[in-house]
Amino acid sequence: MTETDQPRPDLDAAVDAVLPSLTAVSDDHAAASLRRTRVALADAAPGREGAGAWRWGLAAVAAALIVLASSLAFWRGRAPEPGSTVERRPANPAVVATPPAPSAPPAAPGPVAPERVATASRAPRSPGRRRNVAVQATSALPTTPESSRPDPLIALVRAVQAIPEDAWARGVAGTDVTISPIAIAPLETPPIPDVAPEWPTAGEP
Amino acid sequence: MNGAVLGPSVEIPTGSVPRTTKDCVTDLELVERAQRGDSDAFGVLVERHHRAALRAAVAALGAVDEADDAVQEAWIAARDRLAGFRGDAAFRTWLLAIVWHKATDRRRGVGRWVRRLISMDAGDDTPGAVPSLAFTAAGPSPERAALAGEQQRTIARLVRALPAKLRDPLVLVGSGDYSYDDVAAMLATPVGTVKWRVSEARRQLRVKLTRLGF
Repeated sequence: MTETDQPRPDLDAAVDAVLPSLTAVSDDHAAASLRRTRVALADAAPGREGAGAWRWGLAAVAAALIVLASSLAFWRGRAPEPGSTVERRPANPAVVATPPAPSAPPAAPGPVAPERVATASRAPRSPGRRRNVAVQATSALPTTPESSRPDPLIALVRAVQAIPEDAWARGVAGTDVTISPIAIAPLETPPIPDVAPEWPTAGEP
Repeated sequence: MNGAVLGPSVEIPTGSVPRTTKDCVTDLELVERAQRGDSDAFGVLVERHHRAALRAAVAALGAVDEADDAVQEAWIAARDRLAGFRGDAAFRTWLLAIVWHKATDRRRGVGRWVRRLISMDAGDDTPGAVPSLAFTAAGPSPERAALAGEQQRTIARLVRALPAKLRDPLVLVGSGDYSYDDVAAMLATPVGTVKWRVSEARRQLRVKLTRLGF
């Protein structure tokens, strides 16, 4: 036993006198704490806790339904009907509205233009691809207005279609082709004098 | 509702559960009534043991405000777990264990460490500061009163500086509100261990006070 371990009843008594004060609570504090505890117990009543859980559950379900409905509406608003995307496209009305002439010869270059009409009746795309392709087809505006651009090929096709059927048949048969003879007068030139020509030398411009 | 109100002060009881009164009812009876749904019985339990619960929380936390919050949480937890109380221990011991658990949870919280750091910067105004006990000293002279006051402040500072394993049982036992069995149940420690820790805490305090010249 060391010197500092000697019994010290006076120090023990001093410690015993101090220890209760370390946990002392005044009457005012205790009363106020009791009031607050009663209020807390009333606020956290078991019945209220259950109702609160129900309210939270209902709110969560309602929020999930709202999100689902809005996402569905957004998806349907963006997804086009099959074929409607090409109909809304501002295409050249002359090309789309004019059907190909039934009497046009198959070898003529005119049928090239009606090939663009075939895109309007394209088969509906698969659902997986529809979203990306549809947005590009409907929202992408042409850089220049197509109607203002002259198309010489279309003009040629219309001109060919304007030829009457009988005239076309005659032209193909070649029966009415008559070429009148062209009278050409003889060209008279003055006589050339007897002078030796001066040919340019090498290196001269 | 247990009664039909006929007038301002006339009430005819219609239920089988009598109204709870504060007197001549043991804790166990109150617990059984509270388990059957009598909220008044639980209110009586709160009124009986709130102060002991608050002091236990103060012993763990050192601050009355924090102890108040911990005790409120403990009472709510006790009411929620009351159906599982089987009476193996006294209700008071069972409650104090819950209080101590809630208080030590708070003591381990990060926010408490931050507040302690701030209060250390601001000075030693730690809650639970020892009020002067000079009036209880033997001599009435101012010198002896001043000496006793300084000794008390030193003891309080040394107690707070003890490790928690020694400080908690010493403060709880020294408060005079709790028996060794209560403290052992609160700390979930054998009674013999509690006694040894209290003795060791006293020995360390004696050594430090002797070195300081007391």
